Amino acid sequence: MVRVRVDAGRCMGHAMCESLAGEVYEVTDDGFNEMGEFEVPEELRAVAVRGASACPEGAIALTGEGTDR
Amino acid sequence: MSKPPPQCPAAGLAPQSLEERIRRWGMHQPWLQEDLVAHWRQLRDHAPIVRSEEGGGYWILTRYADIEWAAKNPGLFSSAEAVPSGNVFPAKLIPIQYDGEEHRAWRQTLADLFNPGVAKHFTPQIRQAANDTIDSIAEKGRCEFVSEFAAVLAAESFLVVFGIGREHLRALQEHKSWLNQEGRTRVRFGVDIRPANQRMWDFFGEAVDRRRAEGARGGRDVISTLFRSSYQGRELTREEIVNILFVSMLASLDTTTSALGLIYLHLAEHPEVQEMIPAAPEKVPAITEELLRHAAVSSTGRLVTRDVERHGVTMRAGDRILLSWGLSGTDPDAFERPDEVDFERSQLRQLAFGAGPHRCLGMHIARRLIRIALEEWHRRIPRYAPAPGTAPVHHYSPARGLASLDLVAVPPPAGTGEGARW
Repeated sequence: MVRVRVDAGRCMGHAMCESLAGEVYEVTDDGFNEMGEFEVPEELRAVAVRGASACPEGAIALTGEGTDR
Repeated sequence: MSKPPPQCPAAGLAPQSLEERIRRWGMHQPWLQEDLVAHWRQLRDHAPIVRSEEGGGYWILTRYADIEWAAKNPGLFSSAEAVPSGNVFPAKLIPIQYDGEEHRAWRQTLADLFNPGVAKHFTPQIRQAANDTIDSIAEKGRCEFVSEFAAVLAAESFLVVFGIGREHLRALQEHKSWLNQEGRTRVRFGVDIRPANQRMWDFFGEAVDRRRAEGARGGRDVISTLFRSSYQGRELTREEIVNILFVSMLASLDTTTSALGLIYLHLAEHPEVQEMIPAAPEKVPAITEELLRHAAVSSTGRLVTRDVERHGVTMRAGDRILLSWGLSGTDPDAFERPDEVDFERSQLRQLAFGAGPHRCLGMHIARRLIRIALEEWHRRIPRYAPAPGTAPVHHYSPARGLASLDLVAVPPPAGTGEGARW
């Protein structure tokens, strides 16, 4: 499993995570990611990384083995 | 039809030396219109901060890191003169010319107007507008893309989202082209155009009155939402609502038109991407982002609030600076092979919609509009190319892009059974 942590304090509602990696991320109607901490299966790692790299605020971090963020 | 390429009279030729080109840098220079990106590259290779002496003088930040730094430091770089093109409006523009607490309060008021939920809500109507616009183009098999598609879809989407109504397209476009062609030129030569601009103020005032008379309770359009909104605990005045509509129009129409123009210029020259769009619709958001990075259109201005030194350059309180998101998107320090379009790139943080507290409020609507345009156009007109014998005409402005782009539909290979018309 890949552990994802979304820092709600840094999220500014760009909604890029959902736009570019909708299999992993979902935003509210306002565009904010309120998912907090959660796990996704290993096969979605690349998608999770993509959404995190797209965040203009750097609000998404991946933790756990083999992640580089 | 496209205008012929400019004849380059002597006055329109670029100065010989780079130092002189930098000193004379300005959006009105004829020699900067056609190949802005090449000139941008020279600026960036020369220095991170350069100074033009045109129009009273201003600094240009040339690198992604410095542009982002300025955008995210509003205390040091005020937005009080955020519009580089002069005063076209009889009031301080909401919210783009506000700073600090007032700006925060206005952004709070406006936050609900253009969020992803609103973009989703109006998707069917924007899709309809796109298809209505494509109808005649598909019939003819050719078009001047900027005026016949990009500008129309940008304006129609604005009228839909704001609750003004698509039937007012012609009036909006007439006002807008007057402002762009005559109004801005007069402003540049110091003429007060506010009296002449009154008709635009009236156009939006009437739209507000009409919507109020219709009983807009519960509507998700911008005007109806503004009726329910508050600013620091009070209702908005009619003047403030008109101000917001005017600013939103300035911020959305030319930018979206330019973005579509530059995106389709790339697509017209890359049939392999044209094929990818209907074949892999899930890739359209990534395609949109990469093309926005590759050719970001907007520039904005800031005012230095206190002396600051950066890269050995001292910018003084009161100095003006120019931030061009397009310069950030093609910075090789931020993006590998920045001039190549690569839908698989791992660095995805691009600044086409700006950064910091003034980042584009309408970005969710703009992204949705581009996505719908790509989906519907390629469903109806799967293959197309620049019209033989024509050349796209570029312009450099606060929303740099294309003045014209002639396209022709390309028939599919015989026997494929698709797109029978062509």
